[in-house]
Amino acid sequence: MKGMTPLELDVSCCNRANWRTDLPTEIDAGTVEGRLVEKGYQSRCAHPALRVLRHPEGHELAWVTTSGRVQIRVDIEVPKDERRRRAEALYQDLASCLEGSSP
Amino acid sequence: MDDLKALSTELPGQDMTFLGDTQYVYHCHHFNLFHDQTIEDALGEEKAFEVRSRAAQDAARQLLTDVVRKCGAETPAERLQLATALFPWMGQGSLELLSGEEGGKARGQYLHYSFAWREKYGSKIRRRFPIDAFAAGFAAAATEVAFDLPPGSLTSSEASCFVCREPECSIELSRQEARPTPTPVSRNAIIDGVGAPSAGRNEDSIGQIAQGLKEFLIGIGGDQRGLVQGFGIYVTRHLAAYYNATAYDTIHAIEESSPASTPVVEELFGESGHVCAFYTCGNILLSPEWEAMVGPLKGEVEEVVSACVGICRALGFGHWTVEDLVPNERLVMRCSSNYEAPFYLERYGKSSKPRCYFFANAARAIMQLAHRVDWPSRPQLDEALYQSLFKTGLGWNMEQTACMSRGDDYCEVAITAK
Repeated sequence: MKGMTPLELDVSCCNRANWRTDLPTEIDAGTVEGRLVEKGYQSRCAHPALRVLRHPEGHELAWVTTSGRVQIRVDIEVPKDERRRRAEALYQDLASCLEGSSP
Repeated sequence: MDDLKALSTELPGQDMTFLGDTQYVYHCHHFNLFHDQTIEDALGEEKAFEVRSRAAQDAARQLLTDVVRKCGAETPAERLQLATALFPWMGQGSLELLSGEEGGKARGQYLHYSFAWREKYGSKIRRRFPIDAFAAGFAAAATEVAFDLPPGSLTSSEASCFVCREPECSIELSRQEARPTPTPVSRNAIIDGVGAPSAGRNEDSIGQIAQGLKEFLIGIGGDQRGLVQGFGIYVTRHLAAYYNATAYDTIHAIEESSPASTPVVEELFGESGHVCAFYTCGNILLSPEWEAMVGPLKGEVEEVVSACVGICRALGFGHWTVEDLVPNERLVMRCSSNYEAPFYLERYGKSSKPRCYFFANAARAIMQLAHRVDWPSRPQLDEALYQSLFKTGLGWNMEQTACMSRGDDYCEVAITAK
């Protein structure tokens, strides 16, 4: 997806649990959130500048809509050496929900 | 869960949280493991399990006795069900209570302590002794309350544990002659033990941060495993009485049996303040939630100190204020309330020395975080960084200059550059 930065390791106190990407700020957050909910994510936060969505397997996406920062939180039940792969799958989920979401 | 949220209240002006009449605070798994490890280091694994499970049983009994009454749970089945619902709300995992008047069993899944231990240490260390003393004590208390048994009439042990690489955590409960149990430290006793709240530096900013975080925290629920995740960390809504009883009973035991070792164990319990500031405050400061609610951190000394104090208030640690701050030189923090001193005063009577190990050392850690961490670079908050900040060259002296456990009107700590 154009403008979505590559996946990189983010701050975490649990080994390789958190990853980061940045989204364009001009996308329609409500539309993207709705698409993620259709994929099975559960919306968990109603703050105007923040979306936190939980995947059915317990992973989370924490998205600062004003800056575009997204923290992908891989559930810590996932073995450490599989966490990057799981983060990449969640990254692709997000990418697939961004198509056509710019106003 | 909605019933439990409705029972969660604050002591006005004091930044302390209660479920019914029982005080709780938010602590992360790093703090919880460190605190309990300190007890094991001081007393040995077996004695530590006994101290921890009894403290858990006493604290949980206070909580459950109050909550079942407020929720109108009258039958044993209703009371056990309420306890089963409360446990995951606290972020402690899930507990199946299979107990009756004569004791019985409890089965735990994703128990906070064993789950967190496996995550943090499991790949490096093999542990042979069970760790879920809190769950064991909680199960005992839940059974006592459900069947109106006398306090201390059940004993608990953990027969199998996830940390020992067994498939599940299994707790056994059995009847015993009721042991003497301490009088619970009530909400009223805590109210009597706190001072008049005051305003310090940056009060508006600190107050706003605290309020925003509190609103966010109360809305966080446990997942289907009974674990509570917020800001990218696993937190518990844990009982202040558990932390206090375990810490102070351990320190008193060492004071009696091995007085020369007292400063060592006091320092270790104080180090828990470093662990909390680093892992909990640090992760919150670098979280998307913080960025959305407050804005990206610039990393200036006063900004970081104010932010950490706001976080600590939101976590229920008490009404902490910044009295004085000179970057690179001095921080004076004061509190009209914290979760240590009022408990100490009520449970043990007036102390001859300060007893706020957590508050005083958290202040020192906050000063270290404000000066030695390059926040805009978003460093990994890992063990290596913790060691470099707190184990090699901690450049601050710490003196607790006032303490309510000693009869002073407030608690105060002065942190000065070495």
